[in-house]
Amino acid sequence: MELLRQIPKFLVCGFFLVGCLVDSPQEREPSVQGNYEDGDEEHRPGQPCLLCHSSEGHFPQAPGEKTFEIGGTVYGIIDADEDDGLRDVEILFTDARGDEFSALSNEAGNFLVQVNSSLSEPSRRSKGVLEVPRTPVFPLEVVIRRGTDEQRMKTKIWRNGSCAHCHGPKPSIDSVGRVYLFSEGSTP
Amino acid sequence: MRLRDAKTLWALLALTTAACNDTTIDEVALAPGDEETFATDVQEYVGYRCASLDCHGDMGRTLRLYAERGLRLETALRDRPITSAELRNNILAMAAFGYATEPVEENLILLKPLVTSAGGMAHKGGDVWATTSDPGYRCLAAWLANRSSETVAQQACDEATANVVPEE
Repeated sequence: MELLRQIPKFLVCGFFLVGCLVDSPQEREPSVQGNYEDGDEEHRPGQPCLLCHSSEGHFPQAPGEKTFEIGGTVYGIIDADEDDGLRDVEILFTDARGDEFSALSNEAGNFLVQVNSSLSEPSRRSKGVLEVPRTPVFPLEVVIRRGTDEQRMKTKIWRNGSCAHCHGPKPSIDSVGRVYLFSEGSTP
Repeated sequence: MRLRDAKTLWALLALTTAACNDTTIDEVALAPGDEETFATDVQEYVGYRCASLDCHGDMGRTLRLYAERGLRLETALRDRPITSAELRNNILAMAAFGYATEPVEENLILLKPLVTSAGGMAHKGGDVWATTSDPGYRCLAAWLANRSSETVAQQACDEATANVVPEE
């Protein structure tokens, strides 16, 4: 009988224990990114780059030992039939110190910013990689541009260098949708 | 085990379960005018500075905040103005952090963003206000103290918002 009286206590303890054992949404995030063939700067377009490629990322050591400060993918225009990233888009950043630097998207629409402290000024490498001499300081302001077409980000980036953290594939309660250079109605 | 203890445990269990499943709270009494002053004076600053999707607009944050360009209650609200339900949720989220704390300077909403050297507390999102004279601090402090209608408070909120909105 005494044991029966303890059941509510066990239930409550079990409830909290299960809550502690289950992965948080943040912990589950890496596992839902799918299984792609990795290894170059054009893999996994549209996914949150820093989830893996960060010193605070999912893995103890970033894949390929490559860590980035900022990474994302630019797309052309909202179109159900078009799911490819857009190349040759300039992504211009201004950080909290006033440092300005710009990356150029690669064939997949990807761009990546990493620190190379041996440099004295930003330097574009091949395939969408930009090296900057010092770690950018948040918040960041962003403009994307190709030719005369331009979009200015309407908010600042306060702490997460993965564009896809906020710019998920589809607009949802916690995604504003992908980064598009062209707004609806304009011609790419 | 006494019957009262068992009832308390069951009530706690039910409350916890409800809290996990319900993202909105419809009927909670707040002081009159709170929502209005929050909407007119505070939300724009909080929306740009605190409620971005990579900060308190994240569903996993303890202080979860909604914003026009951040977290939304429904996908259909994307690109639409903030709703009264979302504003109410923001106020309730802040209330959980000590809305009625006296004195107002001890409210976690003010202490967390303030640098520790100025009397603040550690904040994973970094140092937001260097001093208590930062317009963002003054804006929120005025609202928490129910002084939002004062001109200086409105000026502080306007200045704070201008500082966090990207230049056109």
